[in-house]
Amino acid sequence: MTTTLVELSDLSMRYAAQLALDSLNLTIKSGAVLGLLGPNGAGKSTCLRLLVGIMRASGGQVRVFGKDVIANGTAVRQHIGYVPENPQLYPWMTVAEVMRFASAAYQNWSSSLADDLCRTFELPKDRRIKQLSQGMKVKAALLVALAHRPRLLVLDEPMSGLDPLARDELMEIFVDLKHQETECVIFSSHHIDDVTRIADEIAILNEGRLLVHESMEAMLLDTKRIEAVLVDGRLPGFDLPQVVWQYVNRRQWSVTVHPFDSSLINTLNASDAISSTSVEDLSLEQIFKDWIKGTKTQC
Amino acid sequence: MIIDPQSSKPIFEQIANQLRRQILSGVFKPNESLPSLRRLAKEIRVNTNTVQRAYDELSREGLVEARRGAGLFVIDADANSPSTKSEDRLSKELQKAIARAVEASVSPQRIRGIFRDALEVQLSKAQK
Amino acid sequence: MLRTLLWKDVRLNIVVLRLAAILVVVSYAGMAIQGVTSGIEGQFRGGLIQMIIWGGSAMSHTCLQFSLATLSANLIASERADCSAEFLTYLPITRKEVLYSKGLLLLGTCAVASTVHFVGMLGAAWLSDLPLNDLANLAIGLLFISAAGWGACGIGWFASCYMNSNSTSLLTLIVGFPAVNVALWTVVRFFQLEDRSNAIFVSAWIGIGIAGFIWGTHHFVNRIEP
Repeated sequence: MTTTLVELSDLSMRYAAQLALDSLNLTIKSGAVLGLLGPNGAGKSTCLRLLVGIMRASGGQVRVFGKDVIANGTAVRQHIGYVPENPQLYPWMTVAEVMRFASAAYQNWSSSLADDLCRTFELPKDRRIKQLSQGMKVKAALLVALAHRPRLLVLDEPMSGLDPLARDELMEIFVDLKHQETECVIFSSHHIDDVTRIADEIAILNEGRLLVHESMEAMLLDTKRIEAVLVDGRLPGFDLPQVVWQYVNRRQWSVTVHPFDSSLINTLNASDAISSTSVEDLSLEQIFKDWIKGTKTQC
Repeated sequence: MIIDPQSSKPIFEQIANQLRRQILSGVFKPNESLPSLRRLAKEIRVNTNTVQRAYDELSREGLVEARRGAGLFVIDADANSPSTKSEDRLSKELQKAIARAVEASVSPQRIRGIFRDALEVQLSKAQK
Repeated sequence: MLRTLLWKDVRLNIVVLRLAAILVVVSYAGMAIQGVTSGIEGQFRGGLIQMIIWGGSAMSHTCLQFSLATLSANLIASERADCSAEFLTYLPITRKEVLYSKGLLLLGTCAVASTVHFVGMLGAAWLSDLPLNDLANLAIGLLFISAAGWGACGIGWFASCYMNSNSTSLLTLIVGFPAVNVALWTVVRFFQLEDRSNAIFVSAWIGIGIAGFIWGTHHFVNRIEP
């Protein structure tokens, strides 16, 4: 039985006039590698920062390991490793000094693991943070996040600013985390390719709302695109259920459906307005785009 | 091993297909072990659950089997079902041809149909 | 953790701390040079020693208040300037711990330097056989300066907690403290309380200091964002 590790209840965040998150409800269980997808400004970073307790939400609650993340912030953060999008470590500190600083803060810091990671990441211990390249800075921040064996790892766009080789290195580490006492990984990314490979759960955010939260399997297997040819360009009189996105072009009616049910095809084929149908699988990128396009047209 | 996350073919299927091809063409010989779950996952940078699914698929097909905590081993077809060399070759060639057809996205129904037809044609020829 | 935070704060503010140390040395050295070259020491009952140590301490103590006020303006705002403030928030460190360390640095610097000044003066007085009255007057003088420093630090701390860069908090201090004093002097003149001006100024400074520290701390601990 898997335990619930993270629970976001009715989470809302308001910045002055703007509502960045709108009553978000999300439950993440132990063992998940969750990829958080969404266009820029969807609220991914805000969501992750609220999750770690860096910011206080305008409404709703965040519980991590069963504890409220604001009331028990420091206790909870002992077991969370967090890497923000543009990590800012003290620029005047050397890598070794950053490690020393962080080791004082985390009770579970493992110096041997920290040294291992330092070697794996090829971080020069005596180099100052401001002298490191962007990729090295991310690795240094990642070292701080990993060296205390966190139960939960939260990464905000970990691959941004990294060259393909550095991304490869990072992914190698990500697929192996569950074997080192990290129970759950949550990361946001624009690189859908990377997400497809390493995530086993997907959550899509848009304009502060959660559109869908599914296992990768269900996402890929149960989302299908139906292409129907309309006899004379007219849509049939009924609405299809569970439509993610649809588009009519001349006599071609494209509908992305989730979850797919083969009875839909029978319904469509039985209609006079439709002359033929075909069903296609979609890649995660196409599924993601359809979800976003779908919310835009449903205003 | 090349994985295309953009493809609409699930990643576990891509892994299984490529492993199957490697097994059938002798990259992994009978009684040799496949790379461990973690190792392969790290090598190709794919979630371990997905790699597990591919391994499960191959086990189901009877190509590999799990051995006492030592991992997955390629099944030695000869050892389990003693058959002649030609029977063996037939089995391997059929599996290769079918695997290739699967990769080329020929549907299972079509494969069965084509197989049935080919069987009919050849066996009736042989009976004459 | 407090020790590590303190180490970090010392390194972060090393420029101001070094400056403070230099000013202390310069004050005493300056007095010494002045004393040796100009021969004013005749005006001091205790001679050259009293001049160097009393004059030096007075000057150094005044400079110290400037250094401390600058330090307080720098302490918190500099973390937000280089965005390392966010780093501190996602580490398992409470905001209170962060402030304790900074407060300790401020207090520590003040205590160490002030002790040097007071002890120096006591020593000089003892060496020069000065009457207790003189010593008492001097001590009161130093405390007067300290009160001004306390007020300035309160303003600096408050500005540091609210602003996002050390240049703006420093600017607030440089403009704010004189402005407060001008306002106080205007009030004193308006109500013709010149004979009690010392008491008024001192109590105002102490009050402003306390208010600045409390208000700034409260704001910092309860900020929504780092």
